[in-house]
Amino acid sequence: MTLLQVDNLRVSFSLYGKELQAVRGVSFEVNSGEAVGIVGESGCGKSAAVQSILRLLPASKIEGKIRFDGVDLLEKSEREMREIRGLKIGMVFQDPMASLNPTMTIGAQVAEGLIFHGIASKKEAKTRALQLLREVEIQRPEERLNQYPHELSGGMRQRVLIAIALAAKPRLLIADEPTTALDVTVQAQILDVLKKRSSATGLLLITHDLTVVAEMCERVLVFYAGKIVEQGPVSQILSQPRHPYTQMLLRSIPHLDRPRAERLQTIAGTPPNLLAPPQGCAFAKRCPYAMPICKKEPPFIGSAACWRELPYS
Amino acid sequence: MNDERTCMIETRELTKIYKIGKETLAAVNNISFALDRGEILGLVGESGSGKSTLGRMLLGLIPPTSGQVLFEGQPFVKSLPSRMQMIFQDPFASLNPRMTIGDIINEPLTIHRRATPTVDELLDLVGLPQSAKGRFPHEFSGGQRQRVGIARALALHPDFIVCDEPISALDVSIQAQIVNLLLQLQKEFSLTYLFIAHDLAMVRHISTRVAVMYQGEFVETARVEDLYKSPSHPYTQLLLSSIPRLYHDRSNALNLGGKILRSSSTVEIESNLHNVNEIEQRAGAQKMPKQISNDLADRGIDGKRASMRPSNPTPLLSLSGGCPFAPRCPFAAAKCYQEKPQSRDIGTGHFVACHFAGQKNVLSNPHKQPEKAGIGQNCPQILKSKSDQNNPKKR
Repeated sequence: MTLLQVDNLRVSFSLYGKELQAVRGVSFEVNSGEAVGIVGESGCGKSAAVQSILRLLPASKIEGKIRFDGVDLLEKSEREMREIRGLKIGMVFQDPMASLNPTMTIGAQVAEGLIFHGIASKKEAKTRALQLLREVEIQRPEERLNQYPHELSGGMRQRVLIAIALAAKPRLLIADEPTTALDVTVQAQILDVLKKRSSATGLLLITHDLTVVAEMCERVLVFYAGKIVEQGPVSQILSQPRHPYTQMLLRSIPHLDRPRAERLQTIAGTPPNLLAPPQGCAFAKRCPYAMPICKKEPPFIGSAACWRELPYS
Repeated sequence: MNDERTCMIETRELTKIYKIGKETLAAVNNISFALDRGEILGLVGESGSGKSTLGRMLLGLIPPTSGQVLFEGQPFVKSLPSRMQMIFQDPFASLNPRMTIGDIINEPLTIHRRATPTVDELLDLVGLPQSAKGRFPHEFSGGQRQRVGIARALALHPDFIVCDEPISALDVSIQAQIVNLLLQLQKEFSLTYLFIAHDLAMVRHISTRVAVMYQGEFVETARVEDLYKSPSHPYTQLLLSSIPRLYHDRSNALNLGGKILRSSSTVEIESNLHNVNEIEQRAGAQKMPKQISNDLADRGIDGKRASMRPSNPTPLLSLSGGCPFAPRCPFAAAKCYQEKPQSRDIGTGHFVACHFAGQKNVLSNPHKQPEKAGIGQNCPQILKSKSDQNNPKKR
């Protein structure tokens, strides 16, 4: 069942009196129980796209359709959105220190959402908070309830954030680079917890690390310069990438499972400036296969948005 | 390795102890190693394991508490900085925003009164356009700024460069560019690198040798092929098994005793959680010092005896004589809590500090898996806050 359907989403910010087009027409969907990964470099619009789902951005313009459970979120008032944040859609942010309130105990922060949404009384909320901390595999949860964020390690704070996001049993969980700030061993634990706890909900996982997507997701969307350049099942995209950007990205990272290469392949150049996005394909300037048409007109959007793909095939 | 002529940099029992209030923390504990000219030593370990402290001590940026750094066999002297340089992690914080790129690259040349190489040559070397000279750092992307940092480090023709996570802050597609540049420069000038990183796949790509650091100590050092083919310290095994793989044909990846080391099942993890009693039993007649059992309790090893506040932030066991990894190690035996394992050669320069390394029957026991759940979240308190404010504190 389609849980979230995003149609032709455009997000822009005003910057120095100009319009920065962070997301330039993106369409995708997330089914319930499905884990979808979004990969891309910094500035490619992946965070802007998902944060605009919950309308957490001071964006100057959000256009398109964001249907959650059949209802368009963009038509909701700010007041109605509060009922959706946390209750229907949970979010895990990247920086666990910056996203927890340093002056509130862990227990109070986990319980806050439950009380706000009227799911539990203050008393029940505490019991539920304890249970939630246990679910994200925090050890000695009774003690943690009364501690403050600074007393916890980075990994544990991230577990707390996951507990908060899951508190109201949302139907969709959005995780924005949940493990970027963590060590590999801690990352492995957090991914495990996230995988286990999100099996019943839909999961939208944003990361710049393709290996994390390989580990966690069934489907992947590759973002480049505010657009989706390729999407499909993870296994297919990793084994047979069709868009030159995806192909080059995969060749530019060293693989532990493969023999060592003499030299890593690089992608020359830098992503385009989104204050003045290119007319044609955004990747054309860096693409070794670029044809004259690539610079003139944007390619059709298919599983791979590339002029080398036959349209409608 | 012991050839005096080619030995670039060497440390002898290098130790750095920080005092935090009444507590002491051995950030780097008794490390001895030697690097030959042209070698690239990859240094990996979790945050707070002392990687950056070690790198900075090698350059004389932090005075060691005890031990020695030898550069080409000679003790560290003040004139050396021109021959040793550093490339920093954060290309945004390590360039002065008020200086032009030209001035930044020229600064070491002015200080050391050198006429060559010129800024133009250095810009060429790192692949930046000449027009960059008059511009300011904020006008450049992360990758370009890192190139500026590299040009600055190369200005004085150094022999040895500490690369402290030079690519961690960069995007994937840019990382490859910088790594290729670093490798190309290394070949061209036969540079010696200490490459600090947490990306184990990248470390495998770039290094000739790898050292794995845990709580201020080298637990395993080996040539890159050996380390990735037969990781012999349980901590190295844990690190390697924690990396998510792109392709799920893990059969070749890390196969120990027919079973993949990494566990994702809670039941298995829990079965590995030792309690203090069990450890005490294993320690046999000799009872564990109270301090140690407290420390174990702080790491969540025994839920019942947990104390509210971590009693000691120090890598306690390493000071008290046991193996620092023992509390997290699934293979830990009584001996591991009593006697500190000495680093020993298990073949062709493959050094491991583990009592049981090389004894395949122990380390490949398929029923025991590293206690994944216990890591990180049970670190003692100050270790945690230290890792959070990692760099500022050490600077």
